[in-house]
Amino acid sequence: MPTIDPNLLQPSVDTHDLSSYVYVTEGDVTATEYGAVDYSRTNLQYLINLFDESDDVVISSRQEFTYYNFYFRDFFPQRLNPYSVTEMDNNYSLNFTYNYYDTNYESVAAGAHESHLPNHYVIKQNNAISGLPTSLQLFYGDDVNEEAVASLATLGGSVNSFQYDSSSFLPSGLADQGFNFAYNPNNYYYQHYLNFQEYAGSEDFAEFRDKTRNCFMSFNKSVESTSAPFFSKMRINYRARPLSLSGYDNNTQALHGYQHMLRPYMYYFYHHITGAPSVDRSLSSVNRTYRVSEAIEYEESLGDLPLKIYPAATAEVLANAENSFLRNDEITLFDKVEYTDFPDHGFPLVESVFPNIASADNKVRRFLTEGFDWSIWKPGLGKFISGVPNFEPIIVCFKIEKFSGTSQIPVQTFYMDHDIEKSGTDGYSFLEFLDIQLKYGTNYRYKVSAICRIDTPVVKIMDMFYTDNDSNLYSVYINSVPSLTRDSETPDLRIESRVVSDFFGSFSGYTPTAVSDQITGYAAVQALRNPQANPSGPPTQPSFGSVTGLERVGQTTPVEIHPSPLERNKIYIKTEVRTKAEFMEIELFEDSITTLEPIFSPPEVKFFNENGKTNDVLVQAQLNYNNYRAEYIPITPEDSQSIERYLPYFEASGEYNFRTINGEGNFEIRRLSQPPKSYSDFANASVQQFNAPQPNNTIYSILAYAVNKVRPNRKYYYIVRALNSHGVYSNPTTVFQIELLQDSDDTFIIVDEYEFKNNLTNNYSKSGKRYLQLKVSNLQGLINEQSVEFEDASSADEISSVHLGPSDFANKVWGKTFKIRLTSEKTGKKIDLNVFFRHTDEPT
Amino acid sequence: MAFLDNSGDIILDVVLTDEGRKRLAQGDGSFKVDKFALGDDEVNYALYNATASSGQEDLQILQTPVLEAFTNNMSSMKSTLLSYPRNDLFHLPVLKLNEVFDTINQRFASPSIFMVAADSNTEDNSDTQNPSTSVALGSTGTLQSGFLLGANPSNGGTVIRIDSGIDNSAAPPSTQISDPTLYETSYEIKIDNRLGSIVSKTGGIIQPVAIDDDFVASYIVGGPGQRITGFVSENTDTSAGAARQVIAGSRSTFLEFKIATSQSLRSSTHLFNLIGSAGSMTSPNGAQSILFIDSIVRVTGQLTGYSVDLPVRFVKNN
Repeated sequence: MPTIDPNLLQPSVDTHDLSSYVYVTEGDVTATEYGAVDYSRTNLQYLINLFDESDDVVISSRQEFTYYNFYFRDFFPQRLNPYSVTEMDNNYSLNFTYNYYDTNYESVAAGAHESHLPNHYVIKQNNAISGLPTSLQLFYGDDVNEEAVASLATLGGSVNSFQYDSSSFLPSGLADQGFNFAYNPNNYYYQHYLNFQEYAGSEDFAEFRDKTRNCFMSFNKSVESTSAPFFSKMRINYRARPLSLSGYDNNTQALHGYQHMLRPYMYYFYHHITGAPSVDRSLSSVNRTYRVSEAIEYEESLGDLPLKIYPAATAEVLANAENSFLRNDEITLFDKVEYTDFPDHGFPLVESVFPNIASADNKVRRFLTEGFDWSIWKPGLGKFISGVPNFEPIIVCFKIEKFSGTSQIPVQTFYMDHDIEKSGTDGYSFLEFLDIQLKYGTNYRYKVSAICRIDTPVVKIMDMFYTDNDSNLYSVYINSVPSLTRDSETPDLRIESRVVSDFFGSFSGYTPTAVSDQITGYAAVQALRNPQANPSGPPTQPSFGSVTGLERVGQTTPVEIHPSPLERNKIYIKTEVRTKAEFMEIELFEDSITTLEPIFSPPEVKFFNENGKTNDVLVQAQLNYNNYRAEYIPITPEDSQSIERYLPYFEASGEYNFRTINGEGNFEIRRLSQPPKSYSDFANASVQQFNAPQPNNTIYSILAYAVNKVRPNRKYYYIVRALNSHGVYSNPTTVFQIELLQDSDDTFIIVDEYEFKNNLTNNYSKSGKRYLQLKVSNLQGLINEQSVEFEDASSADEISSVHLGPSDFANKVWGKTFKIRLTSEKTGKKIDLNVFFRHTDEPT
Repeated sequence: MAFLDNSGDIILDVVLTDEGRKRLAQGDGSFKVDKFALGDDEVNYALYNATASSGQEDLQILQTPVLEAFTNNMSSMKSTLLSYPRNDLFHLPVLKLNEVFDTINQRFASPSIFMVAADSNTEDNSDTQNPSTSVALGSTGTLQSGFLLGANPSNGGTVIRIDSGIDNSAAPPSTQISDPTLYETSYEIKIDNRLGSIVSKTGGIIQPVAIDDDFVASYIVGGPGQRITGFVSENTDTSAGAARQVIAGSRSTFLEFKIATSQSLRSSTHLFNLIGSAGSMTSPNGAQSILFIDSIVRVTGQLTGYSVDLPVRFVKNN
């Protein structure tokens, strides 16, 4: 169970301690709470501040405060374990899929507002509407009919809704497929987009607008698929709760699945409340669960998250909501269950979805305006002080705001019905939102908020007084009116009657038994003194303890006659509590996608030579549909620049999941005549771009040929890259070493894969001993004994100098310099080595 | 070539390709296996028995003997593994010999094979006034169905036609194939280069892009707009159950070509004696002794990888 933020209860200037507060409640829709807490100046000041407008105002006109303490469990926050692969451990996912390239769609969409692009749910509704029973179609009237859908969101027959989401039409999606956007002359854009401003001011457009925004659309939460060119898909995980836990289906306020009321609710909410000032939420504590496994949940405070609380609806607001409609950039989506579960429930269904709140039935109106049975939750002052959460917020819809680029104004807003299971216990469910109203090359940011119905308690002060150590009685509030004596040092003698008449009833002829029988406040007092007792059970014999204090209160009342239950140093509080229906908007997450075509995988390439064509290398390139994951290899600065937009799709490891989609096979050849050391050597080596003409008007060719002219008997180094439809290059193929050999009148080609010699480094000095050794001949190493010293000496000690080799200079190597020339057999390069021989004695 | 027992342990039987052997022989480190292909030539998926007990449905498939590894390019790995980006395909395109489009597309009656007249004498006794011994003309004196004029392909004769598409009416032909990965635009034709070459249906000569060490020449031809025209055409017939079509479902293109005989076959009997056989066929004058070589021509879709083998017999009046 969460605990209330202590900062809320103990302002920095205060050191109050309300832990001694005990209380008891009575009543139902509007309840009374009697409580008492130990008296101290800080406690007193804190309680005064709760009901005062501010600390600076001595006498307040507010008299009440609203507090928000919620335990928000319907949505799963971010997983704690980022490595978990269990899908339900994510609170959401947002992915972008590029199905295929449709040049007409992309060019048209680039000049249009997103809300004018075909909408996934509208297309599907076009399909579903025709399946409605006739009786229901009659009730829908002009609000939901084929005409409205057909004209909605610029579709105009451009999409075959019956094939639109068929998986067999993915991902081709070109002509004759479900999403035939480009070729239908009835398409809305072809009729209007060129002069949209003029059309926007026409009566036709006004009718179109009314129909579109009144259209009822549903979603099937987990089976959405599309043949649109590209789309984003969001998955929101949440806790599906049975209705029985909601408190909304009790006998008096049953709404038979309150999804029915959501539509008017949305209209009301977003067109009349959003402009109202936010309420004070300084006295709030909102927590939500953390789910880290199937069974373990933690909680966190939402104090730092954006949180809006809108005031409750009033009769005036509801009256003004009669002509409210969604804006053109807003769409509401309803759970499919609402549509399918009530096929024979025509009237309520129609009424509940009708956009005009005035036509909603009384149950809906009550839902919007009234709180619920207070006795169920008892969210009074005692719960506030103890930090116990009150009602769980119930998500009635998700709000999805879509922003384009860096704009802070959403281009579209979607409201998605919150699916609540109709049976079972707490479980996990999810819904998916599919958005095809996207332009290519745009960053879209989705901000998702939960719109919750909350029942907030309003605590109104009735009476507050306290006793000091001498049992003097001081008033703070009397009948909701701030007492002039509350900061006085003088006891308020007038309060005696209040005590008697309210807290303890009439004490005339008082006996404990009489009190227990007659005084409403008796049970409260009993509970105050003995909080462990059952406050709602039969009263027990009171034990008021010392009555001496009462005797010191005021001199004009017969206090001596009647024993008083009041204790010394206590603050006594009587409050009234009622609940009201409010709406809370909690920002759940924000994430973005960028609508980009994937970077293709490197193409599959073959090299041929046709016999007799001595200068032709025939290059066959084919789009490679095998996905692969690797780092991107930029070759030119332009590559590095174009890849920056894709960075969000790169993994933390720097790898990208290359994927080839349909499209024309466009390829680029880069060629070098010298062995490259790396791919960057190909930066200025582009020699050819080629593709294949379309076989016919409706299909591309992914296989293309090019003839590249080369000189025979010379090695060339090739790489080939594929371009996606937006001109982004794939990674290069491996480097191919190609040599076209010419032999007489015949030619043949040698194709080898080439590996970079990255391990070679320039080494300008190397010991040559291993490669080249120069030694004198044995003759040159012999001691020359022909000198005079040898002839005269009788022992070796007598010889002072020894010479090696022959005596004649011409035949000896010593003292000469020789030039040795090395010539490479491979390259023909030469190097000269100047050497001379030197002898060093090695004494033995 | 032999079969390996596949009833027990998993078999891994590997041989090097010609290129692999060549690189291994070079001994310069260039031998490095970085590509391989997988095939299922021996597998008959129709043997899958859905009514068998659990876990036994594919028993017959798994116990089918597999071919031992061999390196003959024209026989090995006819059905290699392909990758498609889509996982929702129910049907894959095939290539199919079309003999019903026209009588000139039919094989010889018996044996059911495409006959290629090796020289002019075999075609029509070298265009004599009253050819009498030419086996291409048969007993009627007119060119027999299924005979290709190998020496003078521009003079007429049989045209081999291969159709591409999805051979299943579940994908009706009224809708052309629109997925570019299923739309065949280019074909590779392989033929023993010692025996003949590929020419267009009008006799236009093209060059092979490769001739391997087994004398197998490869030709690559493309469709409209592709590098070599005159071979591949778009199949615009979208009628279901058309009498002249063999693809029951969506169609894409078709390939037409002829075979020209090599100079060796035209001018010599050496190859016939070396790798051929002797026999007799009917000529306008009755039985005529002949020499013949049986071979195959393989057509492979460049995109789909599907291939068909066409039996051909090079025939020469003896």
